[in-house]
Amino acid sequence: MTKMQIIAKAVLAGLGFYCVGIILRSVHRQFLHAYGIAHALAIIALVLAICAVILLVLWRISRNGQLARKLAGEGPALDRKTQRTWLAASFRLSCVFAGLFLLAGSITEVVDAVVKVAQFLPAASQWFNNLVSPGQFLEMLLVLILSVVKYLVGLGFLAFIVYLMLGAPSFIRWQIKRSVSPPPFSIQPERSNNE
Amino acid sequence: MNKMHIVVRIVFAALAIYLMIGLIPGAIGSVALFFQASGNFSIIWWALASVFVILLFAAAVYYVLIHKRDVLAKRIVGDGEIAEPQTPVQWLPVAFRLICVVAGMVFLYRFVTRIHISLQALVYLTKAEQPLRANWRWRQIWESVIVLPFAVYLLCGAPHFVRWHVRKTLELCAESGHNEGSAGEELA
Repeated sequence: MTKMQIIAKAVLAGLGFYCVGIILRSVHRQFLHAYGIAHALAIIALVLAICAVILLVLWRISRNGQLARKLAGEGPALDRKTQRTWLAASFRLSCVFAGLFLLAGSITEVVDAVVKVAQFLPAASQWFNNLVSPGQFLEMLLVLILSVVKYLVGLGFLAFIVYLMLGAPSFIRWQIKRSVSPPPFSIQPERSNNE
Repeated sequence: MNKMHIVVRIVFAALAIYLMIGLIPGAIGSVALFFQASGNFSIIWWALASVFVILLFAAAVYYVLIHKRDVLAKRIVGDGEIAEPQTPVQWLPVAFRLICVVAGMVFLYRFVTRIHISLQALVYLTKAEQPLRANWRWRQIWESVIVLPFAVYLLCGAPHFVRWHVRKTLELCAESGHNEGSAGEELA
């Protein structure tokens, strides 16, 4: 793998993570205004569809080697040690950059997610009180599911930004393991009996 | 001047263009405050202040990122006479510092473009409002103000953040090399 291919891979991965963050942010914004059953089913369906899109983007991030080769072209391959260093440095830089950019653009959502997490326990007791009240069980159950999904999306968005800002270490480790070409298999010449 | 200086100069020019274009909606929002004034002088003053801050920020962006970018590049990279970096490890501190400064500018830009929202909230807070609405206004102001400390820290080069990331990246390189070494030994 060449230096330019590694940089292209890292930039593509950073862009992909930024897209995932933007999608999560949009879902979180929709949830801020979602109340009641009418919204519940539609939004849960939307979340499932968006999860599929996010998985698709993440799958593309994990397999962006071919696109990187197309973008960067061919060239002299680096040795394995230099490949590892370039991969770790460029992926970490692009992840941190994507995280900082997401944080700068979504400070409202981040504050909201932190406030929601802080209010989780009092709100949860309120939901369960509503749930055990007679009648309206189905309606309350849907509202409860909607609220839990809303919290999870907020928390997921927050965790995603923090993970990117920490440099996505496990992702980079996995990328290094995947991307660095395996060592050439060397067959040791058999020693003749005469030696 | 070496490669690092050139990269930093290019990044700053691109950032300046991005920020200048991004300031336009904020300026339009500030001008729109005039139309909401309807003879209220306090709103007119707030609108003027908002337009003034946005213009000041645009001038500062032009001065720092276009006019004085060489000085800033030297501050980020170091002396202009240093040798070309041979390995990516030599690039790391500069690259992390650069993305921190760029992110700091973006944070500052977010603060400036939200100024008219905060000022609107301040203006409406002075009027008698329902407590729930007043809470919402306070939150708008708070969300704008919270961006500032991030912006200042990142613009200062975020030394702790950069040092931690460089150390962790080097550890990661060493760790993956060690793992591969042991794997290679097992293969052999």
